[in-house]
Amino acid sequence: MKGSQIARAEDIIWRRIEDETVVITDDGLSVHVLNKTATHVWELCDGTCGPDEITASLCDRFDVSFEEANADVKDIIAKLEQMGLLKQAMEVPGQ
Amino acid sequence: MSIRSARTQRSLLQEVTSKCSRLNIPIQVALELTYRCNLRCSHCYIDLAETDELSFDEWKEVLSQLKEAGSIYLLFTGGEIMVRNDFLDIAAYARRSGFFIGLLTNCTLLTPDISRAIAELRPFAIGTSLYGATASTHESVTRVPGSFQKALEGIRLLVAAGVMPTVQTIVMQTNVHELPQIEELVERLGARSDINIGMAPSKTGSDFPFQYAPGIEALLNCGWQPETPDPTGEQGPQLCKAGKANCSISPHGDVFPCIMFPMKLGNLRESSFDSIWRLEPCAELRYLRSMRRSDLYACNGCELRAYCQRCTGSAYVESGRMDGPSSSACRQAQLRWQLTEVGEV
Repeated sequence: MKGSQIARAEDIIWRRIEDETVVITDDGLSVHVLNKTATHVWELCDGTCGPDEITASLCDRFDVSFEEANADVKDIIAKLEQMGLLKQAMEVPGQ
Repeated sequence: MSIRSARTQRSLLQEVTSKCSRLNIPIQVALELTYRCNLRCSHCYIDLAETDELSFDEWKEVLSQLKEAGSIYLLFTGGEIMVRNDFLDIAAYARRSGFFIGLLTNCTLLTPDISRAIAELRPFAIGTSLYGATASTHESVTRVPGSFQKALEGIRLLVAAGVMPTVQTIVMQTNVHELPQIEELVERLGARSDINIGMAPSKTGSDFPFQYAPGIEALLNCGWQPETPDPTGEQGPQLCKAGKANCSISPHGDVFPCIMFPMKLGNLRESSFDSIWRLEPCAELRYLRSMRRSDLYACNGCELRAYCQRCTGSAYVESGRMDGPSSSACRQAQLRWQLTEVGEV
């Protein structure tokens, strides 16, 4: 996962609501609400960033160490991938 | 855990909707594409004629603004949406743009192709109307010969395409004797029946639709009973999400708190949605958003409040005040009380 860029799945509908994000699968049957930290990760999953860049952004925004944040980011991404809400976009050349 | 999930829509969506209501995010918007209709239903609450409808391009711009405002669910309604040749284009564009869509239609203009196209949109809801179990009863309301068979055929087409419509029946003097048969017919068609007594005043405030409502004697003898709340409960009418999580947009771009609430907030040809809804809400909208149950001065002490399904929009039309009583809700609460109390004797 380290060098992969992460993108949101295409068949979902999502909106930012205050500091949370509601994500609904295209069939309308599965609803997910992401908290503030997960929302920050989610918004960076636009196909141009990998976990390390997302972690760096998280560290800029919140008072947290890289190691601690990186573990959280990988955990959040893994869970969202498992739910089918995120996907690996492409491999970053050279990594 | 930073992610909460639910496989069923209800629990988390209710939570999300409540949050939207608190934050005035219009998560559900009714889009009235047209007031034109191919039927002439006697009790129809739309007593307006409007020809200056928003074009497809104008709706595209409205959709863009609604997405920015946080809207997720769009309900397309009319009039009859299918009298607009571009209704499928608008609905498909909305779906591609990241909205869930629902449709209200009388089903009489459906074709196999249109039904399949609607199924591909995966609508979260399709509502239609049936006013009788026979052509003569149904068409005494729609006043268009042949509309009964066309409606049934439209419902069949939707079901065949994999969409289950909810078939709504408003209880009227003309159909009160056929309610169990209507339920049976709808079940045979493979759809879901929803029978209710909630006749509403017209958009211009006229009470003419109520002349078609049945009396208590007819309801008591019809073999059908509306759902009634626990009469021992202390719950009174709840305030709805109109003007907060819900709003509606008329065919020519007027913004309202809800489809049943004819208090114009602004027009999208003159102002942006964000300006009307968030940046510069009018005094009436600000008051609506600040209203509490305790402000319902005529309702809080009412002995029938457990039976009441008050609509703030109807109250506004009928009493001139959004915190005032709704005479139609009062009558319907009385009916529910009588149906429960007398029906149990």
